[in-house]
Amino acid sequence: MKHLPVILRWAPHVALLLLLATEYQLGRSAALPREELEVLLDEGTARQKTWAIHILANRGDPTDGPLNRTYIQNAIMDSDPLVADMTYMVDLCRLLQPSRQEKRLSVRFDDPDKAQDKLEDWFRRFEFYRRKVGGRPLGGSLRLKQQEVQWLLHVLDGGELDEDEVISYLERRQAGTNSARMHRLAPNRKRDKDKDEKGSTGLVPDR
Amino acid sequence: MHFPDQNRGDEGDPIPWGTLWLIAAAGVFVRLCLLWIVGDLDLQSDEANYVYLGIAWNHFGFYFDQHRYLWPPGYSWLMAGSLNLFGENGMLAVKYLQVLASASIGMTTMLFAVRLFGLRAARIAGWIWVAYLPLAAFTHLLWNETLFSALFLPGLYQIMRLMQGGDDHRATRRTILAGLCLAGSLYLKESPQFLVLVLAALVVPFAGGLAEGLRRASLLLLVVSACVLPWGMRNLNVYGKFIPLGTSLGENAFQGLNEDYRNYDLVPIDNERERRSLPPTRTVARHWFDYVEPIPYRDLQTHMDALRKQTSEAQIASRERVAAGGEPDPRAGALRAQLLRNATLQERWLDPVTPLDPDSLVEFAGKPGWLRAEPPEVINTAQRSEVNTANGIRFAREHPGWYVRSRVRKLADILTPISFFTRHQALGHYDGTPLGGNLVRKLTSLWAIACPVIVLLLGIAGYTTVLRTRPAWLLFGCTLGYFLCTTLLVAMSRFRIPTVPLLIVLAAGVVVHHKTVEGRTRKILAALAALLVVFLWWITWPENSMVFAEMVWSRYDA
Repeated sequence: MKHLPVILRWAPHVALLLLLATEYQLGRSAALPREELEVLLDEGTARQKTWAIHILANRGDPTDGPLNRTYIQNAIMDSDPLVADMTYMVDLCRLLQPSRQEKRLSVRFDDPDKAQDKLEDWFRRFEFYRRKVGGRPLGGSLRLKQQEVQWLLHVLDGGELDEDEVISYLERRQAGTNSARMHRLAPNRKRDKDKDEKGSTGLVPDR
Repeated sequence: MHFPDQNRGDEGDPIPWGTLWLIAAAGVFVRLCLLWIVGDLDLQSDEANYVYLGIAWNHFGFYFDQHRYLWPPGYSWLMAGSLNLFGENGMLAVKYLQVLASASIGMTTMLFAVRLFGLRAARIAGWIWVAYLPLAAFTHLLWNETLFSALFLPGLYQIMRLMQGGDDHRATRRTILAGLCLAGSLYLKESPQFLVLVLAALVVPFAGGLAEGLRRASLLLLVVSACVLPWGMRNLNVYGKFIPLGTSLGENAFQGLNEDYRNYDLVPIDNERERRSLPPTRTVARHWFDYVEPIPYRDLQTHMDALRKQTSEAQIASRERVAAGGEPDPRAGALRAQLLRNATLQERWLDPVTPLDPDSLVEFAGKPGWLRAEPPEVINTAQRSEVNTANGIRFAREHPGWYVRSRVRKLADILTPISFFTRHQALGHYDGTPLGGNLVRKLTSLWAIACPVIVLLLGIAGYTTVLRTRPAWLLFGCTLGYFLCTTLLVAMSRFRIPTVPLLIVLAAGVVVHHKTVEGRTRKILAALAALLVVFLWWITWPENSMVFAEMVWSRYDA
């Protein structure tokens, strides 16, 4: 028993090694194989679908996987807003050019009568998409502002927005940005003279 | 009273906890007042990204990468929780938490000082911390420096206690506590992950025996590993690569090991100057430190071949994207333009008549920079980071002279006397608050510049003169040196923030014990170190003085 104190001094190491082994095992078992992720993508809940999209878009080579253009186009119109929102995030937007998403967002500026999404859904997706670390990483001058955070949290709580207030605010912001890429997308004082040809906000029609 | 010869912790006077807590409370009060004065400032730069990530985490239930970065999840997780609890006041709640957490920074600063230099030095260090405006300002900004330091410094302090007391009967508890604090800090900022290995190695020789040293070091590493592994496994699951917490290496290589000089202290300022039609700060910079040397003539063909190959690949990839219904890759156009320009210049160089215009070679070689790896070339952030890191290292190897010169510039950038407080003042972010008023803006900005000037000079002098015990000397040296080594990639004033409390301790030590310094060598070393810092300030002086004069002292509308 004279070695007991020495053994006890190493007890934390043993406990931590066991903990590490457990963490490793749990981590491995939580990692779903591609086949299971593809099943979740089709049959899972909205949360499971978004998680499956997140992993399938990042792990391995997603180019020949299920996240093809057809899937994304369907997901944009998914009845569950969470899945539709996911198509505006960085994972899918860097996988395939988000031209469909871009058009859907631009139409509310160009031709509000043709807008397909409810204002609140549209605003949420706009904020998730056209922000510095969002689906379309634009210039630093288009980061979230307090006002937008307030509206976004309001929308996520199920609240409603005033369209005139929101759209005029966003147009003001986009007009004031330094982002060259945003200038291609947004109304801009420099391009006012070309407004009729290019539309007020969306991509140039013939691009 | 402690003397620097002793610097020994346990044998010193009992710690006057009441006094230390009183000073810490004063520091918290000052920071609270600052928060009340400036209110809930609108989001700037990365602040907005943390909020975005927090909201997205709440909405989707998981953490997204930042396209070019994979930040550790701690701060965004905290933001998500706070927004969940307090709604739109969640951002303000995080600021209040930072104000409270800053007490940990103040207390640790004083505890370091009391162990190394005695009670008087601890009181002085405490009051310097209270009044150190650039540090205080971070408590009302949504950057993770305050919370990071509030965890990192207590971990470092426990390591110092372990190194000072070889036969400490609380060594196991101290090691576990140090590991937990360091692991917690890594969840906020991954940059010191390799420092943990250095700290574990430092513990070994001071444990009173090799076996005990190895026991403590391995325990420290196991505690940190046990805390970090779950997130590493999560990253393995998502990205197919084990990334312990996060990775910024690739993007930092793009920014720091590339043709264009970038310093994020100045980038938003230059954006603002452009908006106001003011000349950019680059017009006055000392370009000797960052120009990229021309490529030797014999290497031109190799570079052209590489550029042709890269352009061809980018164009094919771009065409495939267009065929798939996407947009053309803008890199393809940029590379093609670069190739055409260089081909024209090369033809001129191949003329039998030697070109008379040496600028053409400079122009030719003036665009050797590399473009970021983007999809479809890379799949995810982890892969992008790897490719960009490799490109950055290749660029540094191809331009050794530039690398050495530009690292001096980076060193100057990290030790620059400006800070986020002065940057906020220059950008007018405090306008509309009492801090933005004409007189207050000038006074506080002067004070914010005086703080690092005084503490850096005294701190470096303190390291070379009054820090005399080997454990503390090694610990402080390795920690300060590690953070200085981050300049091998990128640098800005924010990156030195975790080291400021250590410099405050050393500054307080030299204030109290400067009369005890003996021997010319130490004094000469201190003078040389101070001269080096002054030289580094001289490098950044043109830009800093320009910004201070035009954007802080007299405003654009004045």
